[in-house]
Amino acid sequence: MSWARSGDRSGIRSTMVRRRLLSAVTVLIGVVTVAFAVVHLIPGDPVQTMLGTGGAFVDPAQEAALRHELRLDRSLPDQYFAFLASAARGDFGTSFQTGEPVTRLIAEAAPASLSLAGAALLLGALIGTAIAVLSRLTDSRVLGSVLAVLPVLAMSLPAYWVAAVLLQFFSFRLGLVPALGGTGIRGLILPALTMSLPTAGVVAQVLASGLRAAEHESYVLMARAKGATRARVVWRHMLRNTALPAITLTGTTVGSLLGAAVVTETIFGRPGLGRLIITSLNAHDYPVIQGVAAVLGATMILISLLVDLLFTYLDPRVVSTAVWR
Amino acid sequence: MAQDLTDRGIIPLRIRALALLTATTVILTGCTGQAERGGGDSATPRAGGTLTFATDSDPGCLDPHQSPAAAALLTGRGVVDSLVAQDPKTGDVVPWLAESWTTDERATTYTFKLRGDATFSDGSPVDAAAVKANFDRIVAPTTKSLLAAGFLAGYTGTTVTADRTLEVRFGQPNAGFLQAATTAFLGIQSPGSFAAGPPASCRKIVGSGPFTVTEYIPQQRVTLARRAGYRWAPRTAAHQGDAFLEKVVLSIAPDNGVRSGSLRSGQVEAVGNVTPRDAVALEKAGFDVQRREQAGIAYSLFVNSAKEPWTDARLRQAVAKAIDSAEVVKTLYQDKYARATSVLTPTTPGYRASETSTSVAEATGLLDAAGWQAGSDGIRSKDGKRLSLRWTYVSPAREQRDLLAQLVQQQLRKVGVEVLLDPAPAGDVIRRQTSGDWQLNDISFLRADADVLRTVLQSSAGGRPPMVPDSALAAALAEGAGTLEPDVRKASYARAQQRIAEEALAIPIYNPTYLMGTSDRVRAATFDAQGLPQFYDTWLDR
Repeated sequence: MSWARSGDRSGIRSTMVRRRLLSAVTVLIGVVTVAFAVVHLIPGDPVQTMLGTGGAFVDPAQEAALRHELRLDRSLPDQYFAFLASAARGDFGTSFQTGEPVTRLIAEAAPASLSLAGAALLLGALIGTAIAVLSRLTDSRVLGSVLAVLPVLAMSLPAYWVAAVLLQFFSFRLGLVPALGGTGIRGLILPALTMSLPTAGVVAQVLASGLRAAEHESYVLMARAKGATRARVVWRHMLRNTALPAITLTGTTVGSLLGAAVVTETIFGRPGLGRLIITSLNAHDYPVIQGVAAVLGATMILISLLVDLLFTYLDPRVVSTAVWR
Repeated sequence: MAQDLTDRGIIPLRIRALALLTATTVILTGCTGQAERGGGDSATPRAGGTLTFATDSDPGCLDPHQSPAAAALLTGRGVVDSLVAQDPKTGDVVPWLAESWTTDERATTYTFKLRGDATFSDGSPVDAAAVKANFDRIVAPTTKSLLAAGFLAGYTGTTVTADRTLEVRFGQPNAGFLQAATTAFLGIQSPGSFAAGPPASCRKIVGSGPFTVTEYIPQQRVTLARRAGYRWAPRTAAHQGDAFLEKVVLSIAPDNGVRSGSLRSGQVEAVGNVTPRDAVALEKAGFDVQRREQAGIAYSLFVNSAKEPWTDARLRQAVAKAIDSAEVVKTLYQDKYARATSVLTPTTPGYRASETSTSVAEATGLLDAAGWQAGSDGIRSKDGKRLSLRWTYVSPAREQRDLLAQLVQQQLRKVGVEVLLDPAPAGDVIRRQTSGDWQLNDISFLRADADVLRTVLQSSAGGRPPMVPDSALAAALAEGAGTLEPDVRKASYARAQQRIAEEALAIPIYNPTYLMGTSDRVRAATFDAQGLPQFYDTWLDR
């Protein structure tokens, strides 16, 4: 890799980061606008929903006062620009339900979700890689076909089913981990495993097909000719070359990971952003929904940016071919 | 109460002979709605221990002054006391923080005399000024009260007449206030805790109750700790003095299967809102399932009697007769919920059985007499108009109400009435309800006072059309609301329920029932008058 001057590459890299950041801001504004629009498109009025059938007890003057207190008596464009202006300062307003700042609610829920998503990604990558490598190394026909089916299974099993089965077996039957309120690693294992499966499936499939294709590449033949063992060839040479598409796809599974978080966090009774958004949706808690959507949107944008950056380190061609100029 | 998804086929644990015996007793007594206590009442209560109780929903906000959620009552009841208490068996209102009270004839002024020894857990006294601060706070717009303020409708102020005496005044008769004052919604909190603002109260409430809030992790758990020196339990409680349990952990588990699995595997001692299906499975596995019919409006269907052609009482009566509620509770609720026998549930003070017998033949007769003839597809019509009802119901549904809608649809089809099912988000359903833009509607409502009929069915607040517009009903309900005379109230509410049944203004289906599963260590797991579990008398056996 000595042919590319490193100074050049970092220059290109910073241009790329600048451009991507600029477009990220545009995308983010789009995301919060869509979140605002969707929230206001949900049928039903938040005040009436909050009051529920109990609304029958509340006199109209009180209802109007509540509407005013929540600033829902303003015009829609008025609400939108007020929302954008404060969101730009990192202020998403206060929750309709509790009156607490949305940023505080998100800050409280985020660490649990982040550790869960992080653990799920890591676990998914490990399991996926293990399946792919094992399927390449094994000589057993039976094991080979089992390993070929596993990724499809992992991707298609619904999270609520996986969670129920895992709980049933490891918690209710064996009593190894608590079903509810578990803290630390013990509480993280089952939910992370539940959420890791789609990622594991994607990684395993992409890696396995990459490894299969690389089998006849000249560098593999070269390594074999030099006397490297099969395992060493797979680990040292083939994996690095086939990792790129797997990493990109892992990045894209983050989106579905957040979807799975809603189900997983609910079943395992864990706090987190998924739980926060689903309870806020049910309660028509506009500020919280908008805040969480904005934060999730920003996270997705950040992750795709990181994946692109990671690419430039793993594959120098990305920078040298000046895709980002 | 979340929706019952599926029985996950959990393998039964060891069946203990003793537990099985108690469970059977519960089933037997449960049929009469008396199963309010767990087994072993005769034993001497033992103090100490932590009860972990898995419940289905997070209150969102712990403060019952602000939150309308039943979950806020569940957590709040042990923490805040009320001026008065309601006997879960008789519905009578008895002294609690107030040792006596009087009211004027029109139910507009209530005078309370407080007991002298009660204190909040922060040390401040429960005096007249504190009570005034509470009521003033509930009605203040900044509190954004979603339900409690409604109970104080017409509130004009509280006057402190002495250190321990006060007068609560209303600009209009409010006979429902006394019962409402027994709930935690109007519970008395320490005014010292109000200074930090309503959001802070959502995280921690301070009251004079037998427990204090020590921890609240949203979406995960609420931990209550026993308070030493509690000496003012109402006489409806089974004991006086400190609570037996050292700690109560309310663990939040929205998934039904996870809740019952946690009980079966011994990870929790009790679970709330058990689904009927899980209740059957738990009992088979040797666990106790306590049941209590909740007070208030039974789960009922309403045909909009303001909309043509349903202004004709015969059509509504036909619908009422064609719906087989016995089949509904048997098929969907394994008879764990009882068939409703009036628009009010039997645990509601003022309840009077007023049933409509199911009869397809009578329903057919009524529809024929009204001139509606069956067409080629079996649906009746008259003057080119089909006899159909659009049912907009809340989705996702709880208590399998979506399946219930499908069953009712089939039952009504048999007599030639078409039901169009229209599942919609809660907000949309409520909007239709309040604007009068509905044909068939379903509700249930938790409240241990017959006045709930007036506030829910007859409310015309903000010019909205009342759900059940009927002048004879309105007269009976107004009479009940304008007096605290027990006999007059009883008679007027009996008349109201009779009228509702005769005119088929509501079609009661089932009595919403709280099912609580407990392990065999849990003793005296009881319910309050609202039908929610309370933990003051509960204790753990070895």
